[in-house]
Amino acid sequence: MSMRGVLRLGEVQIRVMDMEAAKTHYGKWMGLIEMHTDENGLVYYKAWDEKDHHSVILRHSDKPGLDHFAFKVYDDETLTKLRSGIEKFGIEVTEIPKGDLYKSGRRLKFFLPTGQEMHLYAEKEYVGNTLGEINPGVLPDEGVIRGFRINGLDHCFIAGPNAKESIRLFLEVFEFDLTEKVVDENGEPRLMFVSCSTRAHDIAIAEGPELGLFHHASFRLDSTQDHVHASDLIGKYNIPVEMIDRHGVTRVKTVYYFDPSGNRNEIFCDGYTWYPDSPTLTWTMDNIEPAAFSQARYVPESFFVSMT
Amino acid sequence: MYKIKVLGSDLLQTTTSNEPILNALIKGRKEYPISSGCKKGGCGICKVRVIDGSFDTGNMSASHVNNDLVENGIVLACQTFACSDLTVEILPINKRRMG
Repeated sequence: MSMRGVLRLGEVQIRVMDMEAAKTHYGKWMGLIEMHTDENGLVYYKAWDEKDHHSVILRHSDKPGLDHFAFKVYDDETLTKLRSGIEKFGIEVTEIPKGDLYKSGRRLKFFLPTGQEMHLYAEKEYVGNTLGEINPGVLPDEGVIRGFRINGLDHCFIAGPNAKESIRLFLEVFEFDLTEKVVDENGEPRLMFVSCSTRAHDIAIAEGPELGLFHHASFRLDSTQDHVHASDLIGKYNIPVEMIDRHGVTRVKTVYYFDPSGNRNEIFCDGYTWYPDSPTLTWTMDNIEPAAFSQARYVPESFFVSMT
Repeated sequence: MYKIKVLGSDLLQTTTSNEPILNALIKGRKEYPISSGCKKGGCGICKVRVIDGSFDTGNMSASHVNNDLVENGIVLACQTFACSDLTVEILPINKRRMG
């Protein structure tokens, strides 16, 4: 296995306006496992099959949105190398000492050209997925997999000015691959999808009018059956749905819905396997409907406008 | 039951104090450019100005409205509840368009 640099999106900290409603949404309905509430009121969650202590943090605020997102890297040496690369790129990096953030090793903190606060870290407390590491079996006890049956946090989609510069950081410093892009009539990329793994994207970045915009955080499901089950729960709990369809870009089966503060969430399954010798796929803005939603071939007005 | 008049339209929508006025306004979306997004007061896409009438509001993002704006009737329709007949103006969709 050659994946020894940046590994995966490991954490999002999301602002919510009503913590109790948010806990019902992310905990009871989506089925994430509540791990801790700290002295500042931050609430920590993980999905059942994630091994680290938490992947989603909720913080009460007067506005929704994304406080920060964090990628896990392979080891501390990788972190040191990446710091040098980020600084050579021209972005200032500050270090968050080990233990300053709950259950976390030291972190690199910096701001993307699109305005989002991003962290890199190599260590977070290992808690496992309840199956253990020796003869683990395949199915945890009843009640561990619950709600939407989410396996893990998968990717996020952010927007802001200078999207091409943020993508250049991911390509040149973090060694991601550009898997897909949507280009305008002049051939300029407006939405870009990059991968550090065999998934079709680990983060997507779009050109947007304001710094720090958050389009969605996405969660991975195991199967089409789980996708239907989660969609049925979304209906049962009357969660506002924006779209249920298949993406042309990335080919995943998707549901977009909103949390009680208006942050967009996605659950998805399927999609193709990416390898570094795959060509970058290009979609054109005049074909945006099937690029975004290939079954309905229709894009809700809110999808490109509603961001927190 | 309260009536909602939309500036520039002859349509009258009806609502109650128990449902956000967005639910009523959306019925006339072919007549006037009301948009709906998160329906939770977060995205700001359904901003309107209440020109006449009284109303209550729920949680709305500080990124889109503040107390001064609310006092001037500028609210998010998904978090606004009528306490009387209302006259509203649909405000232009915010400019947070990506792509």
